Amino acid sequence: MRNMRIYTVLVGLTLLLAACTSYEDAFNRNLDSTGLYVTNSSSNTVSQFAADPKSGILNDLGTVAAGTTPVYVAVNATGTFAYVVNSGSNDVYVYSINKKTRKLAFASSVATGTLPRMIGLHSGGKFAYVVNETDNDISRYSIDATTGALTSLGADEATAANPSRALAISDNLLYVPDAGTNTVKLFNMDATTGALAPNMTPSATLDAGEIPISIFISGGSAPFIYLPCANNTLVYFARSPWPPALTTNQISVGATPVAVVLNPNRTVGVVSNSGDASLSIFSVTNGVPTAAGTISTCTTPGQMLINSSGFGYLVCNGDNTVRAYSVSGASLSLINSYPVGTAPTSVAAY
Amino acid sequence: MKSRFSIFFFSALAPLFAQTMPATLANVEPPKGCTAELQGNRPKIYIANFYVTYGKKDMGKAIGDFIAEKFEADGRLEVISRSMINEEMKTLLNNKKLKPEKYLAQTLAYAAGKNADCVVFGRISKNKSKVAFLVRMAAVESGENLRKVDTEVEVNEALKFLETVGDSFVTYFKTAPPKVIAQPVIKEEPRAKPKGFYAAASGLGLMPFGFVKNGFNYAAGGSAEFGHKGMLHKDIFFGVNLEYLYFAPKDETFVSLYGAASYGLAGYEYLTYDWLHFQLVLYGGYQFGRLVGAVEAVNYGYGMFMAGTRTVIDFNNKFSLMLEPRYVLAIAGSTMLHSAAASVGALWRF
Repeated sequence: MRNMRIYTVLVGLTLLLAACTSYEDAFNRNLDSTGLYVTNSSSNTVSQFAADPKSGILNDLGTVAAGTTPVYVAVNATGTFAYVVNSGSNDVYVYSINKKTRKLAFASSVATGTLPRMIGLHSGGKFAYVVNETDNDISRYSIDATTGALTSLGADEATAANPSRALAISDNLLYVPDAGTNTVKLFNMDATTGALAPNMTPSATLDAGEIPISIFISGGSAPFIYLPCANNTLVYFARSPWPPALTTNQISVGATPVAVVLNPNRTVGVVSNSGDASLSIFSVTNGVPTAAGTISTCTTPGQMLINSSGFGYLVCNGDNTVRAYSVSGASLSLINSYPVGTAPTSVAAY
Repeated sequence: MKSRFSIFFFSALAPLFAQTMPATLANVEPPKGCTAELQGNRPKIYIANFYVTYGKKDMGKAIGDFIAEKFEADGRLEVISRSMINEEMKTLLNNKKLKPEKYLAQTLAYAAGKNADCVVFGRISKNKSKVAFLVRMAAVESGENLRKVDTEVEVNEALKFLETVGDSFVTYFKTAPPKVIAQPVIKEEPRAKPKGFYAAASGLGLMPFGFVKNGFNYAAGGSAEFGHKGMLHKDIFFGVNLEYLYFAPKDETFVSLYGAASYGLAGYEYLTYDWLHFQLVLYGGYQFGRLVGAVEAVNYGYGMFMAGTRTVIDFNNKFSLMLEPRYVLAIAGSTMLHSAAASVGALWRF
């Protein structure tokens, strides 16, 4: 009988500890979490989450309406505005971010070309560029620092790529992968006016059959360009010199790679293989990836981001979820899977 | 500063806390009537004309006047006007058939009619070669002879004798000052310390420290208490306390935070000044609550401990004002939350 009492007290204390720990963690998640946003292309919404920098878990904050077929989302460097590209309604929605609630509030919209696919934000925070697939051109905008609103800078700049589905900006250079010509096209950006001009040097031509699908450029003093390609390889090369020598700079990945991402300190890279529901993981040294393994993941994985807290968030287009991973060294471990809207395509966070 | 305050505080309160009345001196009520001990009394004296059967008829008046002068010179007794007396006595003494008994009775009646306290009367007669004196001083109210002189003197010594008689009557009244005695010391018993059941209700304010302070500046709420004092000891009390607290969020990061707690309490009254009670109170209990943040909501539970120093100010035997600053400690496992609180309330004894 006496033992029973002792056990009862111990169980009570344990429950007490659990309850309190949970409370403190929840409290701090409210304080410290950052915003994370996922476009749901079929449900025309943006899912909002708060990402806990300590545990990596996501708290679902509901959705906010987007335009028709939102396919891409980007957040500016200061985390104050989010830009959603709506390929169905040919526009970009601008949202202000409430950093207390982590929720988006619609602020304005601006028209784009036909079938916009992606938006790139210049690091200076003054200009934005949207690549339009049908028009094969790039729409240019200035950014209002106060409202985040986009204002067109005039006629769109032709990409000479067909199709034009992706872009990447690094310093004052803008890159467009061209699946039609198996090249990467380079544009010079005027940091004062936002004007674009084709770089007069030859484009980077990939090996036959590689066919770039998307593009990722790392940061740092010696950026590298990474191109998931249709022949199930990841092509990579230093941004400089241009054009690069590409003959040996490729590494095998899974089936139909659609996106690649590096962690902020550029030591780990992950490629999403939509064809075989896997993630190819690489350790990266001085920009050069080395295969570190493959893990299976959700159906039709898409874009992924890895934040500075060491957590990765993967859009799972096939099962309408976003997956949270802990990224440690060159290994990923799943934390949890969170439902989003229908056909999620893109993820961004601050 | 501290000592100045203490002096002020206690000097201000001193009259209020006086439990005994200092011994005071008071005059005793002066005696009444024709008493030897005057002690502030000033009796009225009626000095009758003497009943004379020898010598000249107006000698009786002269003797009365003579004695009256003695008393008037002394001044301690109020001498009834001799002229008024003469009118009465003249009628009485002109009666040639006046008998001594009638003289005595009527003189007393006259004295009483003048509200006299004392009366002096006498008879003078001839006995051979001597003069016989029968002189009396009596109390009017009781008829008691206070002093009498029955003697015979030679004729040539009669005047001298009368003088000594007058002096002896005057000196009958002693000049002792009024008796002064200490008034009985009325010791006020200290008010009995309140005992028995009580109920109290308080408003409560709390300032959180630790991580809670990052989201909430303060909390406000109320508490209800039921207890009993004096069961084990006159200064010890026990009770139960129910408390509700609502925390005010700093900003949109949090929506609400509230806690409901139940405590057992024990207290000790360490200092009492009549209507003022200083008590130490210790609480132990458990708090349930709910935190709703912009990101996450959670229910929580904490073991709670509080220590307060309570001041109870009695309005009367039943109702009191209650003030209590408190230190609050919430514990769950290794998590400890500190807070400072203060309550103001009313207490009802029944």
